[in-house]
Parts: sequence; structure tokens; C-alpha cells
Amino acid sequence: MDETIDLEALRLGIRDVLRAECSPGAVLRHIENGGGVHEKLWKEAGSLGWTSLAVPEEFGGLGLGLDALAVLYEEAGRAVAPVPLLATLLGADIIVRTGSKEQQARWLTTIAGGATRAAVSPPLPFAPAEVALVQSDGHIVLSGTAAAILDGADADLILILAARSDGGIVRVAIEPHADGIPVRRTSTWDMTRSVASVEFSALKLPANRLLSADIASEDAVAIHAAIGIAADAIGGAQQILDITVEYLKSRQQFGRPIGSFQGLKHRVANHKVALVADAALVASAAALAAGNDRHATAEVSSAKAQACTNYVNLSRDAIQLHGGIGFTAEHACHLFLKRARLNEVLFGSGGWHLQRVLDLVIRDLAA
Amino acid sequence: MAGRHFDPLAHCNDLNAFRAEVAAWLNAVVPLNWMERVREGGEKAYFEFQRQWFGCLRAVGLHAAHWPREWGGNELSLRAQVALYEEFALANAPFTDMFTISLYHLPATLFAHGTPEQRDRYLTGVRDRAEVWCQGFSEPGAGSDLASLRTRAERQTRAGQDVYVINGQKIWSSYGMFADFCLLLARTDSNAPKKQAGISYFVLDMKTAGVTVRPIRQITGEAEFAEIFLDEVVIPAENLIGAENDGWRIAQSTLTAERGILIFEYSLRLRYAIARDAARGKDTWLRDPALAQEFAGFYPRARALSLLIRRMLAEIETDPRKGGSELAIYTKLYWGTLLQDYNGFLVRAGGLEAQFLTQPVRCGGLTTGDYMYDFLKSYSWTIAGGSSEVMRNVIAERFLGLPR
Repeated sequence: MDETIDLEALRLGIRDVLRAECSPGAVLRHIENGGGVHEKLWKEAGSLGWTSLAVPEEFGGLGLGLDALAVLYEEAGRAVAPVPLLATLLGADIIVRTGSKEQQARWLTTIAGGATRAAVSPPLPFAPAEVALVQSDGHIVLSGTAAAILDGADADLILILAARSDGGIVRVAIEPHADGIPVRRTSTWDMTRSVASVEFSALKLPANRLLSADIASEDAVAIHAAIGIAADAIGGAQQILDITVEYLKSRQQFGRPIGSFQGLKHRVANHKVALVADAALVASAAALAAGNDRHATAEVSSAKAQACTNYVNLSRDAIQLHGGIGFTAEHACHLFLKRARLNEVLFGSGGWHLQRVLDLVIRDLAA
Repeated sequence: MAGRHFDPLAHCNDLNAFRAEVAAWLNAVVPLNWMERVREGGEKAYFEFQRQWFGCLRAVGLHAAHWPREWGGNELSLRAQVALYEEFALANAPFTDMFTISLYHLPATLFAHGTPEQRDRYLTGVRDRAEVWCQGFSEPGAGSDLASLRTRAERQTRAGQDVYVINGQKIWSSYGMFADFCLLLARTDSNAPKKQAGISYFVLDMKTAGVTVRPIRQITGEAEFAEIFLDEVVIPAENLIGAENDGWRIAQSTLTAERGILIFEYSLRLRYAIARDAARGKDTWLRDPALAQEFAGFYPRARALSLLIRRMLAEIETDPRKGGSELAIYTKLYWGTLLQDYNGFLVRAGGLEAQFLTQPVRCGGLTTGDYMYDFLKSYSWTIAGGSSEVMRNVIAERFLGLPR
């Protein structure tokens, strides 16, 4: 990892672009027109190298760690950006960890350049492999359904989690367009993203689509995924808090700005404190994960649970604090609430992550 | 006490050696049964134990190690202070509650605003004679709205001496009944355009005629706080700290002194308390999945608190005046809320047993393991030193810019 990278400079650079290209108003218009990937922004993300951040330098990337990716995810969250950055970079992560040199050369270069959009079925800690794999002379055969693939319907490359008959796990790269595999999109209330599933009935693919996988690589990708969502939650929470505070300052009722009422002030103060604390937790989790610290898993679960729960608390209260205007589709509030609610259940719910804290830390302390 | 001579401060430039020496020293001086002794002995035993413990610290210079060298301290770096408190927490050492004002608030005030004579007299008194200080800020009619205080100090000449004559009443003075001196705020100008502008800051000798102290029995059963009645109390004019009517500004440096390292010390104890309480509950409430998961939810909050505190300490290290920064306010509110939620949870999880009346462990901190006691005591962090509601107002108005 390049130690000289200035994460704050990276952050401001990304923020400037998103502020110009992906304002809340722009996202609202994009959704009015049906949602999906914001193609112009995606193109820009590719040309600015955002998709190359964590790709090794030999494949045209910057070779940065999770702490740098967390900055990107946080800014994308702030902009509720309708681009599959997390999905694509999770795909790259799997290939970096488990792909052969040929596979890496084949896919990482185009991911880095933004030409290939990737997606992944959820890492093993979050869901077992539901696709069965049989290997026979130079081919592999897939059967079963891969579900809950974030932004999978917009991907050119999906890394499916599959299980061999002996119980061992693998990842299989499918190229839905090239392979002619139908991917079923399920639209979510959060229209800045979607989920997808793929059904396989004895689909035959060449053996060079097989990537080795094991519990360690799946755990690492799970950490990446959870940090990605937690950072998204921090960025989104900051943005909706700013929007709400501005509204409370300007909206006049009873002859005074409603932000002068203590009943509202104390609510936003509570949200602010929670956000400051959660941001510290997510930053720590990203730093520990980037350094492969042995305490990273508990910290990441702590961060994911806290950041996502409080993003929901804040974004739901934001609508209430806005009153009628917050209930309208034309106002940005609902973008954040919907994104927060999807974040809450993606890659482990709050309860799931607290259970992991319980298993990893509390049981240990109690013993 | 038998055994070798300990000198932790001789190692303070080598953090590991410093830690090891502190740990060895703690192992030698902290009585194993101190909590039981304090629990059974009541207030008098508490007072004696505090003095004895302070004496232990003084014997190795750790009581005032954070002070500047010219005042007999060691200018112990923040990193070394952090290490020190980590060792204290690990050894479950007693707190120095009764000396908090003496060790933190008094020096913070005098370093910034005291005269050389005041520093010499009063800091030496703490360092060498274990003088106990209390704070006379709040009044029955001036709590959150401290600036509306009404205790009056009138400048007069009596028997050729410049003096102030003080009348009024103070409340919530921690350990006022044990105190030798008091940091006192009183109004010197009732006609000032702003109520903050007419307040001055004094040193009050608690033995002065006209000073009456009455302990306040609190909901935990103990009396940590006192009321101070001031009836025609005459103090020399040189007891004024800083300029007349500048007391409000000076009080800010006093109030910010406590945030930071104190919360840090408590947060470390919380970390060990989580382990202790998990171990205690493992065959009972920790088997209940709902309670277990709720309990696990305190871990992320405790982690976040530690991170906030570390950040705040780093801020203070670069600029000591940052004790009153934005981050310090967030930390105080977050900590008070977390502490109360945590102890409140344990009362519920602890069932009937947590309802059995216990004698308080004075100077045992905020997570003594007597759950109902700890829960009741937690209000000291949601009310004292700026209530959570005042903190929320400050956050909303000063940091988020919402209109008043």
C-alpha cells in the first residue's frame, strides 16, 4: 500500500465531483426517470480512477487499502450515488484474493478502467452457498439460485459463491451478457441500487471461470462489504443531518425558525453526537481492517451495527423534522431513509453483527 | 510497608518500564480488600482512606505528576498519563475523588490566572500538605443557569485592610465537608450589563468565620456533596483570582479541566466492568438471547467512547485549552448517556438481586458492580458539570448553528 496517499485530498476530490454531478436534486431526477445506474457518473468514476483504487498497480490500479475505499464509500453515501462502486470493488477484491494471474489480468484491468461492472453474491459469513458446482473434464456445471446480489442486474461480471459436493466453497465468474445468462433484477425501495438473482439449471461453463475460495478469503470480503455499507451510512447520515439542520434554520412557523424550538434542537443534537461517535468507530474499523489487525472483525461488526442503526434513526427522524415537505417525493429526505433501510439489512443486520460481537468479544470476556 | 523502594517517575521516559514500575507499585500498595473496607466503614473511613491513598500517591510523586515542573510536578506526558490510568484501571485502584478539585481544577485555574503568590501558597498546599479543595459554583437558584448566581462579594475596608464580605449560599460542592479551601464564584457587580460580567473568582478558606457546611444526603445513601452557607464571611482582597468581574471567563478554564482525563479514567474502568459483568451474568441473564444481544450493544458504544476520548486527549495534548472543545462536549454527553444506559440495563438484567440494599463503595468509581447503586450514581454524569440538556443546547446552538 502506498503510504503517501493523502486520504483527505482523496476525499475532497471525490466530494467535489459528486457535488457537481450527483446533487440530491440530480438523484431525484434520475430516479424519476426510472433509476438504475447513473451512466454519466459511472463513466466519470471510471475515468477518475475510483474503480481502480484497490486494484493492484500491475493491473492499472492504485493498490490502496480499505481505509482509502472507506473514503470513497462514505462520499458515495453522502451523495446517495446511483453507481455500483461497492459491488464492483467487492468483485475486484475477490479476484485479487483468489484469482489466478490469468484471471486477474483478464478482469482487473477492465474493472480498474471502469469498463467492467462487477457484482458478488454475499460473502459466506452472511449466507451459505446456494449454488452447487460439479466439475467434469475441463468444464464446470452450476445448479441452484444465487440471490441477494447487490447491483447484480447492472453487472458485466458476477462472482457467484458455489459449493462443491464435498462442501468446499468456490467462486465462479459469470459474464451474464457474454454467457447469455439471464439475471433477474428485483427493484428495491432504494432506487439508487437494486438486488438481483441468477438461476442456474445445469449451466455449463469453462473451467477457467473457477476461482478458489476459502473461509479466510470470504471473511476478508465480508469485512470489506460491511465497512463499505457502514461508511456509506456515515456519509449519508452527515448529508441528511446537514440538510435537516439547514431546513430547521430556514423554515418559519409561529413567527420564528422552527430550529429555535428545544424539542427539535435536542433531537438533532442527539443525532449529531451519535454520528460523531459512529464516524470514529467506522474510521477505526477501516484502519484496523486495512492493517489486518486481529481485532478488526469485532470492530467492523461494531461499526456496521452502530452506523446503520443510527443512520436509520436519523433519516427517519429527518422526515418527521421536515414535516409535510419531507413526505413528498420531490424532497430528498426519502432518498436517505430508503438507502438507510437497505443498508441496515445488507451484509448482516444490526442483530447479526451484535451477535458476532457477542460471540467474538463478550463470550470471551465472560469465560 | 515492607519491600523495595518504588520510583515509577524515574522511568517515565520509557513507557513500558514506567508501566511495569507502576504495576509493581500498585501491587504493593493497593490493599486487596479496600472496597470492602470502604463499604463497611462509612464516611469517616472514606475520608481516612482517601487521605491514606493520596499519601501513597504522594510518596512516589504520582499525585501531581501531571503538573509543571516548577510547581513540583513532572510534566508527565499525556501518553504516560494514559499509561498510568490504564494501570490503575487494571489494578482496580481506588479513585482520588476527594482531591479532584485540588489536583485538576485548582491548578488549571491558577496556572492560567493566579498570581505567583497564590500559586506558591495553594499549589504547595496540595502537593505537600494534601489540602482538600471544593468548588463553590452552583447555587440553589443557579444550576444550569450558573451565571444567574446571587452570592454577593462586597469590597470593603475593615480595620485598614482591603477585604471582600461574602453573603449567600452554595450547593453541590463535592466533598465540601472535608474541604480546606473553596474555589468560589460570587457577584461583585449587580449592575453589569450582562449577568456573566459581574462575577468574580475567589479563594475561600473554609475555616473562615461565617462559613457553615452541611452535607447533602443523596439518592445513593451517601453524602458526597455539601451545601455551603456564607454569612458575613470576610476574606482578604488578595484572595481574588484574576481581575474583579472577570470570574466567568476564568471559571471556563476550571470547568474544562475535569473533562478529558477523568472521563478517560472512568471509560477504562467501564471496559473492565463489561468483562466483569459478562462473567457474572454468564450463567444467568447472559443465557437469555435478547438480554445477551442488548448487552453486546454496549460494546460498540464503549468502543466509540474510547475512540472519542483518545481523539480528545490528542487534541488536549496539542492545545490544553481544548478541554472545552466541541469534541469534549460530545464526549461528555455520550459518556453520561452510555453510563446511565449501561448501569440501567444491569439493574434490569440483575433481577431481584440487584434490588438488595447495599452499602456504597465510596471512591470505587461509577461501575462498582453494585448495579442499583451504580445506576443511581450515574445521574452525577447526566446532571453535574453541565446537564445533558445543556450539552444538547450547546451542540444545537453553538455547533450546529440553530437559532436561540
